[in-house]
Amino acid sequence: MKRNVTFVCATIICAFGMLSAQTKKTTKPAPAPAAHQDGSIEGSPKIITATKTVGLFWDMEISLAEAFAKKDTAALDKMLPEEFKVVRPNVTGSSIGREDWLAEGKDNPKPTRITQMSVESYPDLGIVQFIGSGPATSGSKTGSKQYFVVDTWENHDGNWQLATRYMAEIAPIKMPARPTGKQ
Amino acid sequence: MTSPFGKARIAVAFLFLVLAVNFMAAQTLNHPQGVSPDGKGGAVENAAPTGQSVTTGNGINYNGGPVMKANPVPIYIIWYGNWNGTGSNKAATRTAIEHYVGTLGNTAPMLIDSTYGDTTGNVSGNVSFGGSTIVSSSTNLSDRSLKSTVGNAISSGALPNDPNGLYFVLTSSNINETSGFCTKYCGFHTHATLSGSDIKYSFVGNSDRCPSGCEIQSTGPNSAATGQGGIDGMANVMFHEASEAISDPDLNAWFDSSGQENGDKCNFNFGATSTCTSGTACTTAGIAAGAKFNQSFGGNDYMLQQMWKNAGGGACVQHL
Repeated sequence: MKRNVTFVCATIICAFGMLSAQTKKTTKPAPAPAAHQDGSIEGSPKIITATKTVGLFWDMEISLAEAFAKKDTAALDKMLPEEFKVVRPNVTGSSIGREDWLAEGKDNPKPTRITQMSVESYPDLGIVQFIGSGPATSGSKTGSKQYFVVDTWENHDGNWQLATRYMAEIAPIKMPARPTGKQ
Repeated sequence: MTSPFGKARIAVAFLFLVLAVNFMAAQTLNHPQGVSPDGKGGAVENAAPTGQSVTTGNGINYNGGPVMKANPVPIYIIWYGNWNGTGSNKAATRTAIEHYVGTLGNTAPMLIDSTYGDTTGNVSGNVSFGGSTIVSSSTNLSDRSLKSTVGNAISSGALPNDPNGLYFVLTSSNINETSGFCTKYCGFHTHATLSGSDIKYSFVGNSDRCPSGCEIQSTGPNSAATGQGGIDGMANVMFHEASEAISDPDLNAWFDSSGQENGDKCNFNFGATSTCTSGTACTTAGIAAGAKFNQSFGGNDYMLQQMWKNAGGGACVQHL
């Protein structure tokens, strides 16, 4: 009698186990990654398709930065006219002329990395804005600084030249963790 | 005489046998490759991985996120602005673009995207036109109002709630997108949680607003008149955005070390082209302008940028 009861109980337990296996196993869809929170008035994270003119001026600005770094006189002569000047906040309010700007010095920062470029283009004028960053020396320390730069490029018979650079040092902007190419 | 307990034992054993058979049968109902919601309250089986879904070493990196694997990926369009206006802002443009989207799936350029995958499968290379709605407005868009426009189209039922689809907001040339259309970008893609779903959407403005920035030619193979390059300008940017949104929908799948996605690596790079002449599918205006094209499908010619191929070391190509 005891053996029969035991057998029946064991069978019932097994049966419940098998019945639970009948439930179709469906893989829960992975939760979607959290969408970006669009609390910023400046715009939400997005991947842009840069305009043709951003591409054009991006290449020119990179070439100019490389020419500065290499002291490539021929390239600089082609891109910077005699009247080229830099306007920066300073004590006297004076602009800095071509010769003085090309001279080395901590007062003549030349950004080497460019990001967040936009371009207002007209037939013979390009107003190019970007965040530039580059090495900066303060005393014995070398670090990196960021600048808000607006360059006005003029087209002279197909040859673009930088007429004026407006730049001001800015408080560091935390760039997105994912590099955003020409954004 | 057989005891009642003997009969019971036989019955229980038979019950055991029946349940055991059912248990064995239940094992084959599992879905080893998983299912995903279809956006309509049901579920569809994910495509089984086809060989090595994640192929790397071709100049673009896999960062772990999903790709869009629907076959086809439905493309929905929200026509925003005044699309019964002048120039290329007309119903004919809407018809032409919807035809373009409806015939783009499984074409040579779109199949380049099939070289991208995630751990559960590859992009199919197939897209379809899922439907459109018109939002008449003269108000410029911001990133925030763009997102709301997409959200409203879904919540109102004008378009379905489809996390497997891609939504385009196409604006007429009198409309600006204030975060940088024409000064910074010709279009963009992103994603957001809308009506409870991870919705992938893209902005593409009528390129006739800034031809020098967003058109490779002011009169294209599908232009209705000289200087109206909007159809072809938008078709090109839509191809760029669709390829990127499908291979990097949540901005965490395929891009290189500088952040460039497959379309960015070949932006405004068109490769070898042909010229519109009589005998081609180009419009009269396109023929008169000697417009260039490099793709032909659906009875039309198009000028589409090349796309980065995730195979053979990687390259900008017009087809696999």
